[in-house]
This record gives sequence, C-alpha cells and structure tokens, in this order.
Amino acid sequence: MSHFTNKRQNLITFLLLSPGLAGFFGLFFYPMLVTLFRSLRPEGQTSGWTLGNYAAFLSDPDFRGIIWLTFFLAITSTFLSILLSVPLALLLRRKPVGHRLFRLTILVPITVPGLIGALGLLLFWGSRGWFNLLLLQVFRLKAPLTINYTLTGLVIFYVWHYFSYTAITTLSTLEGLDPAFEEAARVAGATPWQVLRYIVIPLIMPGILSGSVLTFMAAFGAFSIPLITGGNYRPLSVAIYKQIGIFIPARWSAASAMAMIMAALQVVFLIFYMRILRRPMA
Amino acid sequence: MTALAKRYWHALINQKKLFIYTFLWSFFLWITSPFLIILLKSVGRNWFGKRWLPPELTLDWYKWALTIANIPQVLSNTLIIAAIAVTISTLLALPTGWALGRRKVPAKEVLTSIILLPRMIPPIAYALGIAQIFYRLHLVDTHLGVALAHVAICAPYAILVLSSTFEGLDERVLEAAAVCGASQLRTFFHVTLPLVLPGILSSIIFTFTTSYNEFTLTLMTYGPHTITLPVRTYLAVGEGYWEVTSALSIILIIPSLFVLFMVQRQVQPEKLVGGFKGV
Amino acid sequence: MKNKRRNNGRRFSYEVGRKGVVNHIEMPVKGCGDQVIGLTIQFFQGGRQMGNKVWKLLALTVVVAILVASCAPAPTPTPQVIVKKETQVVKETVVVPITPTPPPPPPTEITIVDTNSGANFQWYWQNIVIPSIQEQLGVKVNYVVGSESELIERMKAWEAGKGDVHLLFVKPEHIANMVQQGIPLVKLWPDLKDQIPNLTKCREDYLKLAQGVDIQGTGALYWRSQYTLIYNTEYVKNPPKSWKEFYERRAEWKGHIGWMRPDSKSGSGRSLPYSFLNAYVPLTDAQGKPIPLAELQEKPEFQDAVNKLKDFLTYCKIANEPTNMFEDFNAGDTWIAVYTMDYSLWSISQGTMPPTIAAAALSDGMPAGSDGYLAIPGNIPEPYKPVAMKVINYLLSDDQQIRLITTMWQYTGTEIWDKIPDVVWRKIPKWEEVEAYRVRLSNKEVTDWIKTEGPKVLLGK
Repeated sequence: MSHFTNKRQNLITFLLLSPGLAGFFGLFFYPMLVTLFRSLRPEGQTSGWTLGNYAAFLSDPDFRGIIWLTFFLAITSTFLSILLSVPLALLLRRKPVGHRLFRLTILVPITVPGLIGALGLLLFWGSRGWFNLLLLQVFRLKAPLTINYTLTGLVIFYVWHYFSYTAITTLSTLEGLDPAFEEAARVAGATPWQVLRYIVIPLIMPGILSGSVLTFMAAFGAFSIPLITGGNYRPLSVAIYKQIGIFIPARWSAASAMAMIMAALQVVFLIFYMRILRRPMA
Repeated sequence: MTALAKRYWHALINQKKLFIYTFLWSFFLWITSPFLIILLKSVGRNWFGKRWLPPELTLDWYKWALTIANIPQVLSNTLIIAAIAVTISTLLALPTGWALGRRKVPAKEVLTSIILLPRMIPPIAYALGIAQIFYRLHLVDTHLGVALAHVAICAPYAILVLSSTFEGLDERVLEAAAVCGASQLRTFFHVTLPLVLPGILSSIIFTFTTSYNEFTLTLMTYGPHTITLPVRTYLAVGEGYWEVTSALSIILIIPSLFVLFMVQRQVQPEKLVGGFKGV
Repeated sequence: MKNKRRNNGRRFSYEVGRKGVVNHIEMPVKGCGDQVIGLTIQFFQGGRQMGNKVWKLLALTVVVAILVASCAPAPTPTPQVIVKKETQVVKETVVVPITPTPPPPPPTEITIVDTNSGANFQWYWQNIVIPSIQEQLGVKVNYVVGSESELIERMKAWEAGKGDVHLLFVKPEHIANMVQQGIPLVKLWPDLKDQIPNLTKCREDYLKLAQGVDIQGTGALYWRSQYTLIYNTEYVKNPPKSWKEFYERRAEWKGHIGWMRPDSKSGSGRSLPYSFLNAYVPLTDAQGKPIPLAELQEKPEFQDAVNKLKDFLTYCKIANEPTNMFEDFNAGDTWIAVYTMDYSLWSISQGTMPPTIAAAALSDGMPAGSDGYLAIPGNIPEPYKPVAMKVINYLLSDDQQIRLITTMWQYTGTEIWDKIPDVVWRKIPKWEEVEAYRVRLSNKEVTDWIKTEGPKVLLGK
C-alpha cells in the first residue's frame, strides 16, 4: 500500500515538475544542441562534420583580443561594482536623508530598457556632454576627454548597467545583519575600521559574492550595450552577432562555434570564480 | 582647549556628512542624468557645440517619433509578447515551483541548478539555436514565437521565485486552518492563496520586466510584425537622428515606469516580503 | 528635542513603507543570487552522490535528444505546424470550387519593409508617401523598417506563396545580395513593363545592374542618392577639391575628418573607401565592367592606394554609424566628411545640424549613395503581386517623383529632368553635373572585400 502511494506520489511529483522541465529542454537544451550541431557543420551545409569552425576561430589573430576584451570588461566592471556597492550599502544602511530615493535609484538600471540607458550615457559622456562641459568649464580643462567608444567608457557603461545586482544583494545582506555583532566588537574596543574590516565585510561577503556573480554573468553575456556603445571594441557576443548580422550569407556555423566557446568559457570561469572566492570563507 | 577640540571634532563630522552626501548625490546624478539629457535632447533644437542646455525648445521630435516609429504597434507588440511570456512562464513555473518547494524531489538542488542553467549561459548561445529552430517552425515573426523565446529566460526566474515562495509556506498555518475546521478549498482560498499571492505577483513583475526589456532573443526572432521596444530603439539609435531617438525613448520609457508604479501601488510591499520570509 | 523626536518618528514610518517597496525587488534577486551560487557549486562539485538517478535520467535524455537532433536535419514538424498545414489545405479545397467565377477581391493591405531609408526618409514615407498611396490607390500600407540580414534570413525560410512582406525597399547591395543568394524576386523589367508603365522612365542600366551585379530586372529604381563633401565652414575655410588633395592635406584636419567603419550598417561604410580607392585606381574598366579583385590586388597602384587609405584613416574620426558621425559634427569634433547630400540638407533644414555646414564635390569621384530599389518577393501569395505592382507604378509616377526631389532634395529614379521645377536646382546641383563625378559602386567584389576585410586591412594596427 505504502509502496503504491509512494509510487503515486513520485508520479505526481514528476508530473508537477514536467512543465518546467519541458520548458527547459524545449527552449534551452534543444536550442543549445542545435547550436552545438550547427557549430560542427561545414558553413552553409546541413550535413557533414567538421571542427573547422572552431579551428578557424581559435587560430584567428583577433581571437585572443576578443577573449581578452570580454574578460577584461566583465572582471573590471564586476570589481568596480563591488567597490561602488559596498560603501553605498554601508551609507544607505544608516538611512541618511533621502535614502529611499537612492534605493530606487539603484533599481533604475535594471528596470529601464538598457538601450535607452545606453543612449543617455552616450549623450552624457560625449565630447559635448555634461561631463565634459563640467571638465572644460568648471575644472578648466583644455580639451574634452574622449570617453565614448573607449575602453574606459565601456567599463563605465557596464558598471552603470550591471552594478545593481551587486548593490541590491549587498544592501539586503547588510540590512539582515544583526547589529549585535558590531556592538560587541565596538564594546571590545575595536575601531570602526576594524569593525568594518573584520566583522562586517566578512559577514556580508556571501551577499557581495552572490551579487557580483550576477553582475559578472550579465557583463560577460552583455550584448545590447557593447553593440551600441562599443564602437571598435567588440566583445564575444557582438563578434558572434556580427557573423550573422554582417556577412551575407550569414555564417551560422562560425557564430555557433563562437557561441559554444563563449558558453564553455563562462561556465569554466564561474567554477574558477567560486573556487577562488569561496576558499577564504571556508 | 576643549572647546577648540570640540569645534574641530564637529568640523570633522560635518566634513564627513558633506562627503557622504557628495558621494550619494554624485551616485544619484551618475545614474539619472543620462535620462535628463535624453529628455532635454528630445525637446531641444539647434543644440550644437558646447552648451549645457538647448537654446530652443520644440515638440517636433515627438511628432516625428510618433509618425516614424509606429508607436502604438510597437507598444502593443511588446505588451502582447510580454503578456504571453508571463502567462506561459507562470503556468510552467506554478507546478514546477510547487514540486520543488513543497514536495520531496530526488536531487532537488541539481534539478534546480539545471533549470537555472539558462541564466548562467550567455543568451546569445541558445538564441542562435532558437532562431534556427524557429525559422524552421515558422515561429519567427509571430508574437507566440518571440514570447516563447522569452520564456527560455523568464521561466527559470519564475520557477526560482515561486519555489522559494512555496517553500516559505508554513505547514503549521495550513494545519491550524485544517484543525479549525476549514475545508481544503477554504484553506486554499483563505490561507494559502493570500500567502503565496505576493510571491506569484513578484514573479510576474520579474518575468514581465525581463520580457519587456529582452533584446538578444528578440533580435534573433523578431520580424516586421513583431518589432518590440528594445529592437525599435536599437534601429533608431543606429540610423535615426538622436533627437528623434530621444523622443522615442522618452515615450517608450513611460510604460515601464508606469507598470512599476502600478504594481507598487497595487501590491502591499510588506506582504511581498512576508511571502518570502515565511509567516 | 521634541522636534527632533517627531522628525525621527516620521522618518521611521516612511522607511517601513519604502523599504518594502525596494524589498519586493530585492528579495527574489537576492534569492536568485544566493541560490545560483549555492546551486552552481553543488552542481559543479557535489552533484555526484546526490543525484545519481537524475544524472542517469539526464544522460538518457541527452542521448535521446542527440539522436533526435541528429536524425532530423530536415524540419522537425511540431503538431502545431501540421495543424496549420491541414487547415490551409482544407481552406483551399473548400474555397476554390465554391467561388470559381468571381475572382476574390484584391488585397487592400500590403506590408513594405524598408532597409534603405534613414530617419529623414522614414519620416517621408510615413508622412507623405503612405497616406497618398492610401488616398490614391485605396491600399493600406504597413510600413516597417527592417535590417537586411534579418530580412534575407526570413525570406529564405518562406515557402512559395507564404511570404508576408509584399514589397521591399532596399539598397543596391541588398538587391544584389538577394539575387546572388537565389532568393526569388518578381522579374519586373522588361517582362512587366505593361503592368508598370512608369518603369520605362527609369534608365535601363540602373534596372540591369546594381553594384555591378545583374539583378535580372527585379528592381524598380525609386530614387538616386548622391554623396557630397560636407564641411563646417566654422572650421574649414578652404575645402579640398579632389580626393588626392584631401589626402595630401589630411594633416590640416587631423582627428576631425568623419569616416565610417567599413562594416557599418550604413552603405557609407563601403562607398567612402570605394570612391577613395577608385580615385587612385579605376575599379572598373572603360566599359564599366568590374575588374576582378584578384587582378586588382596584383597591381602595385592598388596596394599603394590601400596603404594611402589606411594612412588616411589614421587621420579620421571613425564612427560606427552615421548618427555617431553627425553627433560629432554637432559637437564640433568632426569638421569635414563625405556623406549623402539629402541627409545633410534635410538635417540643416530641421535644425539637427548646424547651419554653418556647406557642401562641395570632389572632382575625382563622389560615390553614388544607396539608390533606392523597389522589389517584389517571388514567394508572396499571387493576389498580392498586382497590388504591389500598382504601388510601384504609383511611386514612379511623375507626381510622386517630383514630390521626392522638391521635398527631400533626393534625385529621382526616373529620367524626368525637364519636368522638375527650376527652384530645385538652386538648392542642389544639376543631375548632369552630378553624373560627371558620380561613381556607381559597380565592383561588388571590392565592396564585399571592404565590408569583410576592411576592418582588419584598413583599420588594423
């Protein structure tokens, strides 16, 4: 009897799980397989097997530049996001005047369509944008700084678009933190800096970590932002899109091979990132 | 002596305050001034050279944006697609989230992480596959097709949010209701539903904004009849006057702000939080 | 003191309300992050013991899926598609025998996809052309802006009679690409000149060749666009007269010459390098036939011209797309560039470009712009074809063509120069003058080479 109900329960569980699994297999797994197979086909054909697409990309002189750029952008913007988010969270935790406004501000980049943000950033940081006007007219610089379509500019734009994840998780972890820990430390005679360094930061590390992983993933896979604001800098996702968006006939196989490399790189890097960042915590 | 020390101390404190607010406000400006510039650009004319503000104001760009961009069509496409994507992903996520949150599932963590994989792999990788499959199935350039592509990225979110909502449901509350003599139906409508509704709503908000802003998958599956807001903005940034693109952006940004505002008004935020923390 | 406390109290209640608002966003994101990490770790590290069964199941599914995927290079129809086909078949068999005598009324709504127009012409189509088609022909036109690669990809997937874009408005390179790709287009010239009488007013060489490719009469020429030298008189007092002079004096405007990336979406990415090279080495022979790229690349003059161009580009401000270049013009960063006349004139008139912009021509060749070709896809339902032809004929009518040149300063596709009011020629140069220096991009091998190799060869370090 119980065996029977057990089986029945299992069946129900499976049935309940099946819609999600169907969605996963139909809309993610199967497309990934199609991409994988396409990457192994000779360009423009539906049969035959080749590793030529991978070889072509890996031996392309641009390959290293593209990979380097993609990682550089993702890592730098993740790092800067953390640098921005931690003080921001520490300040907002004190509930300064207008803190609800700043909290809403954090949400803006992830709720507003990214392309619109990108347009605004291009206008703001342009050679006659407000930033440069400030430099020229208030700080009396001779010539405007070129920021749009440079690496610096891209990093600024990436941080603008993707820091929210880090900031939100850091802030909410910090607010969930029991103030008793800090008080205890302070009573024991620790300086504010020591409290921060040895109590607060280690305690909120998981929050920072989880947020920064999200930031990293978003920055690594970023597509619309570098497509619009990248100029001559083209990270992997844009390079992939260019294979089908520029070449006529579209190079689906080449694009697929690059996409598979990109997916693999991201997974490998995530493992690496976890290992490195989890170690001091353990 | 002490008075002097006190004054220095206060000066220092004030300095700190100044520093804090400089930091916070420059952060605020850094985030929001792009939108302010877009707004000014969209109403300015003859804004050349090094000027802080446009010398002439005009609404011409709005008229222009309205005629060239087919705004009603673009907006309705975006909303229809988002609605389909939200519906499908919620329907997928409800049972799956329930199973993951409430039932014994072998190797639950592994399953969950598998379901979350689409959020860890760059979307362009499976967007390529989806595009090829959809071209074959003639799903490209249909609302359903674009929405299905969005589901790939929305559903994992919904499943995650819903399973944590269901997980947070306290068994004891349900039992208490049963002990007090409530029928199963009554328990469901009067106890369970109010407890999980905030979670479902927040999952809907999430899938909605994700779909509304989705670009990569849309770009691979859209067509002339399914141009959505981000694609239209992309086309306009690439080949339009930026004055007009700005006007277009301002128009197209309104619904997303409006929807967020509506949701904030309609849903009691405390309950949303409660839905996650359990009762 | 009292005051302060009250203040605090108010602030507190305010916080609760707002905190929640933020939190409803925060919570799931946070959850997601934590879980993603936790799960990823488990996924990568500890999945072994936990999910043996699941892994087996997964492995099995993978194998099955791979088998399915590899067995099915041909379309794998889903039930949906089958249903669709069935109903369509049923429809045909039912509809055709019942009403054989009165032909079904012609469609009154067509979709046109435009991959050619910039913002100015998108405005023109929507505000002037589409309403007048509706008024004059009673045909409702859905005007859609599209991109070439996406359009070609979709047209390839159409089955006969299933196409849902009935009219295309494309660049010469697009129509050449479509013909080369074997995408069926309706042959308009000379087969259908009775249905589209205004087609005879177009010059035959434009109907035969686009980008030097034999387009087999599939395109109707709606407009001709022309590049010109534009410069800001505030900064440039004495503009160059030829490409060679432009190259020699490049140091005068270092960093302020506007140029487009060779692989930009805009046709200017190709036409600027093309006409530069053409000024040094003719890319076509005396008869206008393209010289093969391989042959060109063997010529030292060609190599020399490429090197000159490469050097020249280091003096330029390279923009991604025209809008970026025009932003630079407005900011005063870019002083001089070669771009289409119509766009520049229109922008000045609209106040999106400074009024100090002036135009001139380089005597050794100004590239032809993206001439506008109208084409009808072959795979659309038959009843739509006559309607599309009617629309084409209307667009090529004198009335519409004169409107084009008088409102937008764009040269007409038809040869009706004697009918155009004189006032136009006070604004733009006469066509005879333009034709003298106009360089049509007839060597498609070279334009393709610019597009694919250009970023490396011309912009490379």
